[in-house]
Amino acid sequence: MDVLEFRDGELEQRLDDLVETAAQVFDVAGAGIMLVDDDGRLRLIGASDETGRALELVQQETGTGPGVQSTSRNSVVAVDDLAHDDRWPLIQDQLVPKGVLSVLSAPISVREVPAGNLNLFDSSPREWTQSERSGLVAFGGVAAALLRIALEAQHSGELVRELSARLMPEVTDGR
Amino acid sequence: MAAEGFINGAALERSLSALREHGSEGQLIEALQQVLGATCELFSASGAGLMLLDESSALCSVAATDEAGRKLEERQEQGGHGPCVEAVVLDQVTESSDLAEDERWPQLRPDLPAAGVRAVLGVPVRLNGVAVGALNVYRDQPHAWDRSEVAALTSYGGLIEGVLRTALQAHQRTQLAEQLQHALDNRVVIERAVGVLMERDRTDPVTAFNQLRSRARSSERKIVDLAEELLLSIPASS
Repeated sequence: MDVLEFRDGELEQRLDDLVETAAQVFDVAGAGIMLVDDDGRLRLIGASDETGRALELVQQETGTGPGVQSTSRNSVVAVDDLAHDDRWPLIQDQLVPKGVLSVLSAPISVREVPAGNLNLFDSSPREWTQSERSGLVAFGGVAAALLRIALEAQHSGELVRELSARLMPEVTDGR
Repeated sequence: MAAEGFINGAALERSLSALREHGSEGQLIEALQQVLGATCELFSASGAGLMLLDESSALCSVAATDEAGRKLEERQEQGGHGPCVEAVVLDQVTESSDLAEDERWPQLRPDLPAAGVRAVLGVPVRLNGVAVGALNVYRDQPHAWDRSEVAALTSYGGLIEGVLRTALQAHQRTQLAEQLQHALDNRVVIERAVGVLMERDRTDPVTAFNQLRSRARSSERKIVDLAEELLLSIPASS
């Protein structure tokens, strides 16, 4: 029964594709995604490369940064030149040496609930344009759509598992 | 695909469980509309649309962002010619910098250019490596699509595959869940009928079930139907 098998890694692959595509579409050095977990904390979920991972990890650890702010304010946050932007000194100290010099963050919300953020970064200062800002908001909407559908898939998968356990306890017990 | 990509599975799991509490049940059409709307925004397009093959392998318009986009798809759906049809049939990106001047598709003139569909780009949407549809964008002015636009839109088409795959998975599982629920309901009926037979004939469950089964077989009926009949035939005391 193929559908019964939880294809763990499917959604991970989807989100991986999503950040890769974001980096390509916006023609930037990299991209990453953070989502709110069940304790209400933003956590790094995926990134297009190690630098993107570092950008999210430091935001997760410090609880501050452009991505964190974009989720809490539900708006786009732009950092044109991180080396000369003093809003988040911790992030500045850690990321400028890694080559993150500009960041653009947009919120992701699922059914109007803050769900996370999508971050672009580049290796040089960059004046983020209005169309890049609204484009990233739109991209956040695509991420939200994907998450909504994934939730449905996960929910029905759990239902299948539960019904199978009732119908064939001897099969599911042995798993 | 993404060699350097990084995904934190455990954190993702926790986020999903957090989101689920808000009762979000996704709908494919809504998701596709979101994806198409974003396509216009991201590629400075006047409109976008999605065509998919149906079960008879005919290319159908599934969604479009506006009236001109819908017309672009309908004309190709009816005539079987056009850049988006070729994108699917040849499984390759197909572009036209201006439909008003394009010799390849005279059938689409003059209606589409008149409706404001000038430059068109069709990108195949694949499922498990097979082209099953096309993502189409158009502009209301002539436009030579450049390499980076084509590459970016191709990659973006991959996201639609992701949405489709996930939606299919949800759909399959929902169907399977319905079948299992049905099987479970049937089994309850059969078990009750077996109980009735055990009491009536003073026999064990295996013999009682086999009795039901052989009766079903000889009368070419379903076990569950016989079980239901049996339950209806007894006085409604238990």
